Amino acid sequence: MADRRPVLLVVDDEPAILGIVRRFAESEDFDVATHAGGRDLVAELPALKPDVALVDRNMPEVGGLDILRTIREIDPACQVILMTGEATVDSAVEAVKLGALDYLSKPLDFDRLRELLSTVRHGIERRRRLLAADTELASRFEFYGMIGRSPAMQELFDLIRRLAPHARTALLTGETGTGKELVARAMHRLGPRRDRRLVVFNCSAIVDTLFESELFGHTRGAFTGAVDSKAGLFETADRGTLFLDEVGELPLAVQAKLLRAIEYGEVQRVGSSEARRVDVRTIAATNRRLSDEVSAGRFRQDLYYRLNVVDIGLRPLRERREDIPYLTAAFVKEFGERFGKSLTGVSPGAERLLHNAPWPGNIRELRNMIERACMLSEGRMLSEREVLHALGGATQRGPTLPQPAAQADSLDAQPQLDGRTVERVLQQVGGNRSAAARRLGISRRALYRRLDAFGLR
Amino acid sequence: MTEPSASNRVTHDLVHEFKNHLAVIVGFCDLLLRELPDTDPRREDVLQMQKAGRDALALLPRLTTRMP
Repeated sequence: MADRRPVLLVVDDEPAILGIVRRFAESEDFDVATHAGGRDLVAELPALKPDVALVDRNMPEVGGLDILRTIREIDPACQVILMTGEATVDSAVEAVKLGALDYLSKPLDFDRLRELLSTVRHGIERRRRLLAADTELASRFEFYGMIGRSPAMQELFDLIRRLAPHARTALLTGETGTGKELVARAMHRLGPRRDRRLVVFNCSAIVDTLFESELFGHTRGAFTGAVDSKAGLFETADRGTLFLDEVGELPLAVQAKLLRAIEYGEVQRVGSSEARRVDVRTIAATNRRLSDEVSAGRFRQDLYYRLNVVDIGLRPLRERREDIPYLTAAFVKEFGERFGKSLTGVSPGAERLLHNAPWPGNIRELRNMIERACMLSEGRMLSEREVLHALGGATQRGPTLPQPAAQADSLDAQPQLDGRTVERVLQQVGGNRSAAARRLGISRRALYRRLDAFGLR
Repeated sequence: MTEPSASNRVTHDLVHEFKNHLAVIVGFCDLLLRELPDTDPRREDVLQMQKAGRDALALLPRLTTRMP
């Protein structure tokens, strides 16, 4: 791929001109595709993937300016050079305003054309080197699946390295998509229990009545449907690590039992009077401010203090934008390979977009977006258009949502997520609460709490 | 500005056509000059053709500016 020749597309209704340019450009190490007119060009552009196009301005069917517009629209990474028999200052200005790289008069000045082609070639090589460098750097700044060059992330990696061998409990706080589970996995891998099991449990994914038996197990016949006795996750994770995601969603009654399990290593299956001993490292994570939950009486203070002994905060992506290029490079490489596309990076415009986006869903959102863009991509570089398109799929569907979309899960932390917004989103998805919660970026339980709070249930 | 007369437009189109043909002639001369070795005696012939083509191109604007 590195030695792939750049592609020049020539569009002219005069076959002899096509021949001249082909011979010239091939001797300059370009692959050349020729087209006698603008018709059908749109359909063929994605397959041709030209790096640069040389287009005659005056053609009978489709004018060169229209072709220029079309190419800039479909494949902004492709540079366009217009050529004309009658160059005027005005038409040149117009062409450059529309995004043309240059405007040449016929007969073509080969020296000028050679300079332009070498400009294009250098541009391609520069982007390719940048991606290679970013990917290389990304791997150097990778830590158990997390990528971060920013001081914030380097400090985090350092903290994990130092805490992992010792901490028996830890609380990870951070917005959704900041990588809390990856931190938990890193702590497990770096700790003394690395050869034992890591059990992951998402507290928002289960109904209230089942928490207890999931976590602590149950005996046969303990409740309707309990046809067999079953070990809980604490027992499964014995001598290993249990990761409790979205721990703020746990009902108060279960919190008390969780505290006992953590503090004394004792669990009791539902329906059994006998306590079993377990030795489990517990890592809890939340995207809420647990101290607020404590003040509001929704989270037990003693459990909070027990978990909070080691508190690891994860920064949102918008506070470490310097990591975006490395993350992007790593994801483009990952998905390029997965989809079998030879993607070399993102266009400068796309890079700007990625850098400036708000990323309420943080790295998960960035990763999903790159995945979508890679899937859609027709070129060798993710274009501004493809990125915009993929971004739109992520955040724009509900155009009524407030921009710094909803990830903090407490009502107080998200004042703009008012009853009207929730109601409107519910209507948009036809009353499907799971879909509404997804769109709002909150858990289903959090949605139910809001519905109660707003009297919408 | 009034509508260009029919004959003016014919002249204009003819000039355009001429220019295209001359551009092809000059273009191939340019190619040959790039490809022929410096010592090749035929370079002189091609240079003659190239010069004639360029001179002809230079004449064209005079045709259009003489139009009323």
